[in-house]
Amino acid sequence: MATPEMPAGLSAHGEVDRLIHEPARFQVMALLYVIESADFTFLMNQLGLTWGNLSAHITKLEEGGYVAVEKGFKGKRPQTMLSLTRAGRKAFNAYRQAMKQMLDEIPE
Amino acid sequence: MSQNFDLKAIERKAFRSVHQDGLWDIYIGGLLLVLSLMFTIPESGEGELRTIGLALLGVAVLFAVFQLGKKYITTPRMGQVQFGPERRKRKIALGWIMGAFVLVTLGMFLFSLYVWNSSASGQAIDVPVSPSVERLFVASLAALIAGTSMAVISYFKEFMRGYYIAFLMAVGFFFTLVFDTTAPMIAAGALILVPGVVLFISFLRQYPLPPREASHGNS
Repeated sequence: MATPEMPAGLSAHGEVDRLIHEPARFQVMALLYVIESADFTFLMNQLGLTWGNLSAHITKLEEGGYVAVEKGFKGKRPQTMLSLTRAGRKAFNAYRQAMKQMLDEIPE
Repeated sequence: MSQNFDLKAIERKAFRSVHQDGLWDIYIGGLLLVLSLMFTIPESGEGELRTIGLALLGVAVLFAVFQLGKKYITTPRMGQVQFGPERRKRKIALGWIMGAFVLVTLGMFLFSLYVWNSSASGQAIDVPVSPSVERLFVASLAALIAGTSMAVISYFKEFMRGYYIAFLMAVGFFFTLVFDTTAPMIAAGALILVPGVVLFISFLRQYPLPPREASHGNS
């Protein structure tokens, strides 16, 4: 008996960026993709993540070169702003395309 | 399913979240209450200056409360965010439109002053309408300016409660001027201010101050 043939689109699954594919990191990337920059507090509130959890994901994305962490001061207050790097934007776009293609090719 | 739609929804949700603190409602509701003071100004006498002074002081205090509230209460709890170029374009467009509104309103105010002064000094500007029609016209114009300007702000800021505020402002101005009583303006101000205070309290409960390290980031 022949095994059912896997839809062609599913082969793209192997090419999906694992760094972005994790749900919390995907949320971080998606939010940073649609805004210019934000600080930790804003991301925590928007995404409902704890500081520790968000911090761990940001570290991974920063190490992957997807997120830029800019430390500065606003008045006397320290402020850390996060934004997507050019590589991060490109990777997120590629991820969207790959996912879209994969989902579109799943038979009804 | 549209990926674009989802991303827009994420951006819109983030953008609209900045209005959750109720400060706009408190500011505008308070402004209406202060403006209602202006309608109690007596025709002449010492009370006039005192009332104008009080109203101006009220406006200044409300503005300070709004600005300081955003800076020291909202931002530390909500966090900082910079939106993309589309939002900046809309902000600039809103600035231009509101500038035009102010100019048109100022022009109409100066014209009215000119007409009234000319009538008072017996010069030949004669408005061929009855006082009640004139009052209705002025009330409609004031309601239109107040309501439309707030609706435009609400549209550009995606401030959905702003449409309700615009409606109440228009109604408040209209009936205050038509019936020559401050009650409608006070009622409109209270109907905007009280939900604003409720929202503000709920905002403080929902968004406590984050841990200090949250503003420093992860490393």
